[in-house]
Amino acid sequence: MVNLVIKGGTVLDKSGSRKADVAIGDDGNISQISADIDGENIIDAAGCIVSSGLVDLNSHFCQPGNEEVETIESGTRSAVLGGYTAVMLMPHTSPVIDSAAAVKEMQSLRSEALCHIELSGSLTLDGSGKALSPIGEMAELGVRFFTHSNLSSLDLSLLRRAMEYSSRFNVTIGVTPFVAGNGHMNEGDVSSDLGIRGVAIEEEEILIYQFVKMAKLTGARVHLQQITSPKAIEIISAAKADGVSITCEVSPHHFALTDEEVRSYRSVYKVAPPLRSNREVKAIKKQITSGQVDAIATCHAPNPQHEVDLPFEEAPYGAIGLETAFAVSITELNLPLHKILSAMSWVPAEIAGIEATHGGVLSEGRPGNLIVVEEGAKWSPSIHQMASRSANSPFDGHLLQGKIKHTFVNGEAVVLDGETQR
Amino acid sequence: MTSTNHIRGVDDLGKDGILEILELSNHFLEVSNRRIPKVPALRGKTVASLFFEDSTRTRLSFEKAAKRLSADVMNFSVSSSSVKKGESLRDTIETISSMGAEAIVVRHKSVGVPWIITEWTDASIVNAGDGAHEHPTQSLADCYTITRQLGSVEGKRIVIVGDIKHSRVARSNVKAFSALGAKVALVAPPTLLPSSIDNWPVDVIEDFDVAIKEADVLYLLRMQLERQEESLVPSLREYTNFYGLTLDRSQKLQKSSVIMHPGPMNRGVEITGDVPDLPNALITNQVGNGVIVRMAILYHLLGSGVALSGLHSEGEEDG
Repeated sequence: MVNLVIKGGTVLDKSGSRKADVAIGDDGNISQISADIDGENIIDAAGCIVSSGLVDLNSHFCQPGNEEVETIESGTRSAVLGGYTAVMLMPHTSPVIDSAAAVKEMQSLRSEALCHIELSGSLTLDGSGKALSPIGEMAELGVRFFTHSNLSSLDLSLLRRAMEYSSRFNVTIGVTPFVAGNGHMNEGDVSSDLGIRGVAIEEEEILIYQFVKMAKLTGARVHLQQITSPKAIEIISAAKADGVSITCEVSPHHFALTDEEVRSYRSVYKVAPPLRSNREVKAIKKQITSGQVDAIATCHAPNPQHEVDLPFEEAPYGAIGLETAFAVSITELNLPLHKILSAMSWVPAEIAGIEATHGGVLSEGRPGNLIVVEEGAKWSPSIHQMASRSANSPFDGHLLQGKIKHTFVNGEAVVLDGETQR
Repeated sequence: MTSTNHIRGVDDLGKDGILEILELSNHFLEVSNRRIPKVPALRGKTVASLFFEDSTRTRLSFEKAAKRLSADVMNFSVSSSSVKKGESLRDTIETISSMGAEAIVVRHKSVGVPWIITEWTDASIVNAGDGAHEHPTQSLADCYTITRQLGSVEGKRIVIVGDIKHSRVARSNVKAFSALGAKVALVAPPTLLPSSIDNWPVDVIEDFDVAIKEADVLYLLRMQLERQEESLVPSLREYTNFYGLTLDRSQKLQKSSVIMHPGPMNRGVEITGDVPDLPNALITNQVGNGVIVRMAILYHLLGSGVALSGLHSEGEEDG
């Protein structure tokens, strides 16, 4: 039985683009893709692009532990409004996701989510960098991605052991090349003018070089998160050419904003790694265009208003991004839409290991994880209207292009005309 | 003229604004020399001073300036306040603002605080130091001191020596001195220079003994003693050897040159022995001028409608 028909749009997927309607059956799977499908429940997609839903590789929701700031419910509400049908949650909650029990608790929270949540585990117990978590036990429960957040507490020999050990379980190791506490912003003209302690971009390059070498040494599959350095991306590209199993992501705020923003002293511009200089931002945009960057990931990291109000040096790192990432990417990157979809849906689905249900090619029998996009629509996000419980959007008030009209998760219309349906 | 009704950084004033404050300061110099150095210029106005970071001289200087202008002064010191109980910066500002304050003088350990708090209050903000960023009222006092002693700031070679990297005085002074046409040079160990100052209107001179010969003004910065613990310099002794103003080194200064320091001094580190007591050391002048300039600053921000010519001290006759 046909449940609904997405009518009048252009289907754009990994195999190309074609004018077609998409029917979704009662089981939530795509039942038909062809011209002129009729049905009772017609959803208008005239003039729009119909594609697979976006997949985020780097989301921080604060449940369990800090539900005032973000929950599975509010975070996934943000996600579906931004066109995501799957988000991978980072494990740095309270408690940290570092045990089979914690994974099971997270799995039980899936019923509160408006889209698929893919779980990741902490590489080390309590995220403290002292001892390995039970990676195998968590992998048996379906966790395919393990990461560590605070490099200042992780010695590289333990990271090497984690890579060696995990290769047996067919999982991916995520690392962010940033040592918290070394500085609050990019080191350069702006930090010198303002007297704020900076982090040199060279520090990121040195870390990336170490990670790449270690991935080669151990044979682990490594995903490098939140890259901001064009030279680091060159190192990564060279390693890929050398056969190292490595992928990388950049975040929209890192290619849309520069360290000049810090002259406003507003903590929404404090992210880890920091916003870089105009020169580096320009270079990294070119690298995205030339295909050297595998994925665009948000690093959606909520902070409450009272922490956003803190002075720059005292505020926590982090910015939210799920509701704006797609539009920021369309606005900032001069790229055809299929390349943006590749970096935000098709490739991240593969990196997350969920390509059977998300991303890729739309075909009959696959789950109805879809978005309908108004590519040319202009809009301006307002922090007061976002579904996220948090206040730290660096794109509040920006003029953006590209809007999510509808989002379908497992065939359910969770967003229609920009409004969540539950 | 000022572009805003705040003095958060030197750029809130610009060259014209700085000159206006210096001109106003001459009036308040005259007031300060009166038998009763107090005028009713800001009667009924309230100046709140919020020092989130310890300070004695700047706080006292503002307090004295405000009282000489007959303003009410609200002192908020962190050690005895609700901030210690966890009150947020925003709540503190909104509380002080609700009590009624036309100006808030704020010092804070974090960069940018004078700017972000303008969203939470209608009061005029005066920055009394934010992190390593700016200390504009110190700069105005220094410009006034140089102007009184050397006639003007324009064209003078001003050599700033010491921990530029962590110094709000240095950042504000580079802006203010160069806005007024001085030729500024910096002397510092490489670890105490900001990483990127190509855009600053300054020369960097490695050798103090070279720089000192060209200085019209030798401006020494306080060496923060914890910098040695961070190994930014090997030892204070080595720092003094290369960057301290010793009596010997002071002989290399031109006769007309002056020595300045924003205080508090570390005697024996950046300045040794009897150097602070030399006749060309203006360190105490800087403190005295600080009060006068802060009177000018508060009048500039809050004194609209009060004519300077009508400012008679209480109990004094006209004329």
